[in-house]
Amino acid sequence: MSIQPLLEVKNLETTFRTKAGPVRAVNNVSYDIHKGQTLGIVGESGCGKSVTSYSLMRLIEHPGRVTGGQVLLNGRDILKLSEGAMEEVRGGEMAMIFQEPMTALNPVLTIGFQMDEQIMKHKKCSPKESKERAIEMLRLVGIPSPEERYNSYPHQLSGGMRQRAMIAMALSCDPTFLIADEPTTALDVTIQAQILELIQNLQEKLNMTVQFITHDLGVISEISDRVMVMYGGQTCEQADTSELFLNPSHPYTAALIASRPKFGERVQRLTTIEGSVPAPFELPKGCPFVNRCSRVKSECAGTKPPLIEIRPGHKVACFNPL
Amino acid sequence: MDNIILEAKNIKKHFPIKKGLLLREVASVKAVDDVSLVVHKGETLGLVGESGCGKSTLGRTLIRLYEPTAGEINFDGQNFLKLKGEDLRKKRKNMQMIFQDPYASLDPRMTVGQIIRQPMDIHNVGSATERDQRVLELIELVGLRKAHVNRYPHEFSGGQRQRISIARAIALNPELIICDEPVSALDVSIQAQILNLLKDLQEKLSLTYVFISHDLSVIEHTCDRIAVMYLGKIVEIASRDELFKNPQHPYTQALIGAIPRVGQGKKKMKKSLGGEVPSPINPPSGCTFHPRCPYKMDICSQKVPVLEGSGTHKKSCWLEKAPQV
Repeated sequence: MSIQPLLEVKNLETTFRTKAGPVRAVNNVSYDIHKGQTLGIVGESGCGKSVTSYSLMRLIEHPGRVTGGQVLLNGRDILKLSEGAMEEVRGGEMAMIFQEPMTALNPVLTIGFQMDEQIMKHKKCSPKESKERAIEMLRLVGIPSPEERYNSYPHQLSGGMRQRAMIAMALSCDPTFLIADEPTTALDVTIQAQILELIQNLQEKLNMTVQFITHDLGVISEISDRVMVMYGGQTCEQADTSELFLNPSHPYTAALIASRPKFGERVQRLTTIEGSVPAPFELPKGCPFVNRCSRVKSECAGTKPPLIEIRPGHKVACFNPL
Repeated sequence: MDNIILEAKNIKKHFPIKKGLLLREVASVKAVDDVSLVVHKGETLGLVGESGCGKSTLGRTLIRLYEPTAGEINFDGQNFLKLKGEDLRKKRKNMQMIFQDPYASLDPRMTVGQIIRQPMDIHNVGSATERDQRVLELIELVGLRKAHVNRYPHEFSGGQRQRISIARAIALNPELIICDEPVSALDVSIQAQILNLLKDLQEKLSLTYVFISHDLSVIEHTCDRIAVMYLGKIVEIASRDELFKNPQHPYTQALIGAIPRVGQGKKKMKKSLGGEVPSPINPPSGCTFHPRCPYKMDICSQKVPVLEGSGTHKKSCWLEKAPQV
């Protein structure tokens, strides 16, 4: 596509300073998302998918720091913005839904107070207008009797309702770009289905661009247009969703798909990936997957494989792709 | 049938809620409410449901980690609830449990060797050298290395810790193991390793599993028979093939419909089941699923349906035949 993507991430690098030396949690990650599209980022714990999102929101805290790269939102590099200017963007133009609504919401403030705080800052409106807006948003995400819930504290809501409140809050200032960080991981399947349906409907209605992070291959395959697979802080593979699941090219992607019990498909034994995810400070020098890979070649240990486009729109970082 | 290892009849587990100065019982949480089931030797029986449906409580009640409020449990043909003291301890050797969180279920101050040896110490099995020998055998059996025996749990990853708890569970050669969400806390690539290990051990040691999970894909992969629970009751029980090809209860259908399928590409989400699981303190009248059920009839809110059906496929629902989806 020739039109400019809404979000362009170029060579993003986030480093944490630890006693054991600097840990590069996100290492040279690049991707872009076009307007109205959903990019799914999938990977196991510690692969850097959440740190990538926090880096975009500039919410990385000491001892971590974004050490390189660009994040262009509508052509503007938000990593270069002053903290004050970033506060305008965060919660306004771009918003985030966090994984655990119980820890993301402030337990001693009402839902309404927390929503007003954000709406009044970004919409520059009166408390009365803000309250109307907040209640309208709570209604939009399907919370029953929103006027009462406006005065509720987070602990008075169930898990699914809390997550809805989070979504209402994130969407209250009409963001063009939404980051959803494992928004359904803590929820039951039937509630998960409700929340996914809600995010999809709102995305359509508001023409939002979404970055959706999860470790669940099933969820990712149903909700995203494009998928990025991460491992050890790096991108393994990027492709359109159906292409990725039909023709996975990186051995890690293929193994990940094969190791998941697939509904309606009976196998005696599951394919496994031997070993476990390496700790971030003991990542191998070359490809991060080298120690667990079944297709390892001599060059894999020494050099990092570059991300190469092997088919139109299908990029893979591997010296010996499938 | 003589191949029944465990039979539970009308099991109830209610947790009292006490309030006031005199701690009078004001209400109770009906975590498990009138459940009957049998477990056959060598099979894997799956218990599936959403959080709060009572599947874990049922698992724990079956081996008397919780004392049931009412009901009867027969283990190997003996009334398990009547056993006391030494007899109970002996019987307990035959049943073990694997817990969900491998970080919480292993004592951080004990070495791997001590953890795996502890059941043998408690039950006084063999001599000291035999026990140490057995620990090493078990460590290899679950895919760890002998060198790991003197290490502490914090030195291991989640998957390896789950292997340690599996070694501990099989140390006494039990017949029945309750696996309570054994892979839920693990990464996808590690889940497959543990599921394969459980399957291998079942074949090698002819184990019987009661497998508790909220993940239907995992349940479908692992289990021979499946019981679906909702609000403390079994709403449907059938063999794996029957349940997934021909689900009869609207709740089972909704659960199956809500599973995200891998590799089918982006799609419009179907209209999903509305509402949430009601409180087990004050469950709805009649069929407890009726407030969320798309096929609700008048009778549903008035009378409690009974779990019945032809042969091995049973459901508790007033519908003659559930509409196919």
